[in-house]
Amino acid sequence: MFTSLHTDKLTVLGGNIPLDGRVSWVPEGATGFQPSNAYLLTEGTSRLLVDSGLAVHSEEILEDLAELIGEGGGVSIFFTRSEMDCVSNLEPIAGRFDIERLFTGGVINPFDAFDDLSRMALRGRRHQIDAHRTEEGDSLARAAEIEIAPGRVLQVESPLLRLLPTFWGWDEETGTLFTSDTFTHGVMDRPDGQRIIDSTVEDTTTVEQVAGHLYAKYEWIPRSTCEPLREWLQEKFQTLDPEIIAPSRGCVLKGRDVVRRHLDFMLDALTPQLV
Amino acid sequence: MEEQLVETMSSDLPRSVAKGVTWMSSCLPFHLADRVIHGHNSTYLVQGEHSSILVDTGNPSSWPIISSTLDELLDGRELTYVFPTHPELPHTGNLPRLVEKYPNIQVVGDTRDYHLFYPQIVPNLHAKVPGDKVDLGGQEFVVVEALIRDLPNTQWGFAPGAGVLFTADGFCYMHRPELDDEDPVHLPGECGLTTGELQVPIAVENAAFFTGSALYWARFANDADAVYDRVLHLIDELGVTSVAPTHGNFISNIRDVEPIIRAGHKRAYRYETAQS
Ligand SMILES: [Fe+2]
Ligand SMILES: [Fe+2]
Ligand SMILES: [Zn+2]
Ligand SMILES: [Zn+2]
Repeated sequence: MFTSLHTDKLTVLGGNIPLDGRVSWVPEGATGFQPSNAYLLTEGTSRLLVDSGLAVHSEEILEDLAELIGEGGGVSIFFTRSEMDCVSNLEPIAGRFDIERLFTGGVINPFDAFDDLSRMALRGRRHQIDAHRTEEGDSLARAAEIEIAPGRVLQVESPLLRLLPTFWGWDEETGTLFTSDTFTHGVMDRPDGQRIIDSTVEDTTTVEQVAGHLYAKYEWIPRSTCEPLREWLQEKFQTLDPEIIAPSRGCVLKGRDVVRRHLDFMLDALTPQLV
Repeated sequence: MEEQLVETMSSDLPRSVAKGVTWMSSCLPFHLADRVIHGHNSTYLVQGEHSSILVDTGNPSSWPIISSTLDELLDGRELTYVFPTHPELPHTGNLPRLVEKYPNIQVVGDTRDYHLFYPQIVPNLHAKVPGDKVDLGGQEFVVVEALIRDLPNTQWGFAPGAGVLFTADGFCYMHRPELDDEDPVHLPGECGLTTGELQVPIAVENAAFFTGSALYWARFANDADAVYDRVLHLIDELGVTSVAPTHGNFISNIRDVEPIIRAGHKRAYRYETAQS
């Protein structure tokens, strides 16, 4: 089931992950359900999918896409990471829709998971978004841009806060910041729970919860020098002033008050002695 | 850079590197403006009298060569186990193909998340924790806690009878000072050489550059000594004689290589003042 985040511009789709001890990126003992997200950015007849969701949700992703872009429709894809939670539906999507362009960074080419024939057919559609790496491997000095349609771009940046090669996306049109594997802490009690935290829902998030999810994957944070990360994050949010935080998994955080509150949680989580 | 469709295996490989352990590596050639460099994407087959285990699966694009090498090495027997060190394409990408080829294969290791990525192989998943052992017949495979990792569900493995420690992305490095790519690479002709056989030794700068990008967290965490002290302790405790990383040449002289990797890791740290 998909949910519109911004009429005609941005939709979130994907399924839920039962937190049953078999998921590595949540804190030990976590329960409930975590949304797994793919986002469809639309501008007229042009579409860009941000990540592709989990293979276990393949069916619903494909059905939702068919409804949103039409059977066999054309779509470009941007992967925030080459990790399996982002890329594992690439092949089924390629089988049913026309992948016009694929934007990825790092050295792993997700088309490598295809058989030779399909790889041959799709070669040339891949765009390396970090072709010009900065000398020190920090966040990209100048953001790369993905043109969704003339006049609508997704700005792409490699965040300072990351684990593996990762890219954040910024869609100015909808005020949405795609944060990949950070801000993933929003979970639901029931599989049919509210996958968006906005001003209409009671937000019970705590800093411990945010830190728990962050440290589950970024296990080095508690023993690290975090000031540069906090500064970078603060500056990023000040400059962009996002209205929506759209992570690869976890609830979508919507509305400036919600965004500000969760940024504060994250800044505290990045001050490990406070947690 | 021309995108290569088919990964190749050097004619120097597969190669037996320890008792019952065969180094299989497909090498991805990267064509730069003025030269060709290779990146190792290794898998290792550990064989006992009645069973065998494949450590990491290789990239799907190298499946044809991995599949035919397995046919050759297993000589009509089925592959019993596969141990994926962590779920990234070069390490686990061939799991569905392996299950198709060997329907009874047991996927062992930290199998968290795999049911989400590969729902079709759920019946083959057999979760293991550090300390668990797999008996291969006159040869054992022990699951070991990963001391250097890039994902929370990374695991290492050890074959006591062979003295080989399998370290996934740990101990990956590039050893050519004149190469500036951030991926662990080697030159054509070096594909099947061990670190003891390489003509140019690894330099600290190489290790630093690789660590800084592949183990990105090293720039924030100033604890290389603690990390590598634990690794050395593990090496002593287990009686490790050689180290088998997924990317990079087989390390036959771990005592010589460890201080270089440690120094490189240290150098990857960026901030003067540690957190109070
Ligand atoms: Fe890795
Ligand atoms: Fe790697
Ligand atoms: Zn790797
Ligand atoms: Zn080679």
